[in-house]
Amino acid sequence: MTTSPASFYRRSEDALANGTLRSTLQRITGRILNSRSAALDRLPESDEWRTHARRIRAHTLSRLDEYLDQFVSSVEAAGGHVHFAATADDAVRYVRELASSRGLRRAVKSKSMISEEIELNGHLEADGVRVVETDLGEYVVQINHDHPSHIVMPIIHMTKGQVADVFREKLGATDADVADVGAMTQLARRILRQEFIEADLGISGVNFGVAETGSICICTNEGNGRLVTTMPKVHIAMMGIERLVPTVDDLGVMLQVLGRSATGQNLTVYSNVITGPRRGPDATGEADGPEELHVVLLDNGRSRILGSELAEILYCIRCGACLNACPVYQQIGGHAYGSVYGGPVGSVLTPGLEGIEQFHELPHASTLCGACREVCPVRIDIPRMLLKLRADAHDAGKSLWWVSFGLKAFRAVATRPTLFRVAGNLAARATRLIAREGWVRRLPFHMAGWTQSRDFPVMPAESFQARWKRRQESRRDT
Amino acid sequence: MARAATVTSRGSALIQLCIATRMDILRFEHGETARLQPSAGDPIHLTHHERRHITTSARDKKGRLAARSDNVRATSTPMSTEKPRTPLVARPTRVQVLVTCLVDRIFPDTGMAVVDVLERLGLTVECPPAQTCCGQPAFNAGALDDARAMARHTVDLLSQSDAPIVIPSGSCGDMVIHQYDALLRDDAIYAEKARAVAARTYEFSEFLVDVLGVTDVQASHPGTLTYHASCHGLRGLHLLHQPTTLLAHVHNSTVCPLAEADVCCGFGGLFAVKMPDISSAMLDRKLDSIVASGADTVVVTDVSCAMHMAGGLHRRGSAIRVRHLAEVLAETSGRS
Repeated sequence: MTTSPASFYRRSEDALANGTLRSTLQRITGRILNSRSAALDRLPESDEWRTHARRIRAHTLSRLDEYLDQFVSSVEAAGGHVHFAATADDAVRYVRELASSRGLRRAVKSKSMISEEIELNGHLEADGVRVVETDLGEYVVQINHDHPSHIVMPIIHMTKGQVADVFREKLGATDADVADVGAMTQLARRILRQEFIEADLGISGVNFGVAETGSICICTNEGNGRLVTTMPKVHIAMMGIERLVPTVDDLGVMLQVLGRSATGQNLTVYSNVITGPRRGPDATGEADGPEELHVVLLDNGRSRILGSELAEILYCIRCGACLNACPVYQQIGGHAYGSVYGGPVGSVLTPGLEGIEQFHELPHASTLCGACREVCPVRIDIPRMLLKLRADAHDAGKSLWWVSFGLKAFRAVATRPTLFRVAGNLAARATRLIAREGWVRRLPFHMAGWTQSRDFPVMPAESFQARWKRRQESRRDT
Repeated sequence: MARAATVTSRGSALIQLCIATRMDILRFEHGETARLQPSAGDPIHLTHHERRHITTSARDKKGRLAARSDNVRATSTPMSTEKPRTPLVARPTRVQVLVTCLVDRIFPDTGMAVVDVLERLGLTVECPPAQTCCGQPAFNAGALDDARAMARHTVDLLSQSDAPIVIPSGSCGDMVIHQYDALLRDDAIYAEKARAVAARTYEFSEFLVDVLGVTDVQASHPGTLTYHASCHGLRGLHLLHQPTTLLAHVHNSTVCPLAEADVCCGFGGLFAVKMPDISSAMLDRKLDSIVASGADTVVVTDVSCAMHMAGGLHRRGSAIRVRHLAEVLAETSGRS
């Protein structure tokens, strides 16, 4: 699920150097956040809905084994098949084998973060299966050989002009084809319509699985999800093992907060609840729907997170609000995180799934400002888990040497008040030596990062505690 | 084990084993995983009592936020980290001030201003002499052993008197009030001591407004002020109406709104030094909105954010000042 081999620092530098990216991100996230607030204001007692949504997630995760068991039974009772995939490889193998055993050659996909996580497209294409993304944003990503940079808005990093360029280059679009967003959408629609007609395999993600009924709920805004799940003869739905809710009532609660948090919509334009494959043709004689429905339940590290101090991240319903609200994400975008899951949720989920070794920088890509926790529809305490991961990284020897060393030295000083006073006086003298007119323009060593864009104030000779002591003594004397 | 067995028959034994063995840990550790209430036709499965309670508290909070500070987006309700604070039975007569290491060494004027305001309100102020750092830098860096050592030092220091503790910082306040519990929870001696300290610790503006019930400290400050809501104070301690109410009562001043007042300035402690590029980009955005506000002074409740924004403004050559709330409140019409 790694999307780039470069270090986080390198990727974020690249992102920051891209002025168009930053202004695009800030404009769009700002607009979406306003829509989100407005949508939640329209829902009476929205705080209470969010609290309850959290409770449903906490409850489901605490009894996940029971609900998985129930879900599997229900899916099978409805005529579907379920495959537990312990790893990404396992999930990929199942899909490949299914495609080859059924002779499926043309796949259409609606948005699925799981398929990004397991890098499914490349594997299928290697087998000679034609795979076409049908979510407009994902389609642009695919033809541009790019990666999504947001879990809900895959091409938030692109302007419409850039998309037009991609369409011209990759699809041979004319100026009229890319005249505006509407025209570009129509062009993609014409191309994708033909793909839907010819496809024999539909691959979708899942927003929620309902344990009680074995239903899968898929929320989209483009209607592509309906075509993917009804037209091809085989439908494979891919979901993480954590994406369950107990009942249809609970699903209703989640839908109340999902669309509002993600895009500021009361409900996504298409909210599909699918139970089993096509019934009939002889029995009830349903006219459409796939002949086979396969649900792939992916673990890939999730059961390891469950029961750890990061378990709360599995409450996530992938609305993307934390990305929109994060002032760091707003500056660097999703690609800088180097993983399928970017932003605050990704900074917890990615090290959680993949281990802290490779992704130890991500938990530090935050000021711990708490904006993510504030907007989360299920109130996930992301800063708490970032701190936990920072501690894990520190214990694994992944802290920068000068940070570890500096903190050890600081601890030695700060637990000895006399030493603290002496060291403080020395530091104060040092700042006065290198300062001009009350400000230090360049700090030495690793502290130079500070003075890259800010001056540092001179430390006065007399500390507060010295002044306080002097004042108390003079009061006593008088 | 029965559960594990039934599910194992279905698929990957590995997943089932992991889940079955971990589930009980999760249940045990998470206090909030109580079974859902029966629905009884109610789309939100809450009892009448719960519903009323939550609704009332949310409305109170919202109403207050909306009425008192239009320039900051309403924040959400208290987080799960919220601890019940011991209500003080009587108005305290003395307080201990933990000025914080930054105030001690870099901004002593702010510390003196805190003392001035508290004394003006008739309190006897103590400043425990051995105070150093609360340990937050180490805590945020994941160096928990180092953080614990500093936390224990500070807890000892503040346990010597039973007077309420006032900290002129939302982030150090949040550290003592909320994070010490997480840090020292398993410490046989300090867990209880830390909780006792946390229960009588208040951020400066919180102490004035919520404990003393004071909103006008007879401060006078000529000029145009604007308020930046520092993150840890805003989202950790829910500080918003306290500082903005105090500011609204400063004589001779105008308070103007600050766009994106609740967006982080990019300081984040070591973040500013470790990831200076991102931090600087965030600071730039903050300074742009400060300049656009038209204020001559930005008021904050954390000197760390003040140091960050003031350093950036100075680098830009701007004359706008950033000051701690206590400094503004310490000014009276008798002085400048």
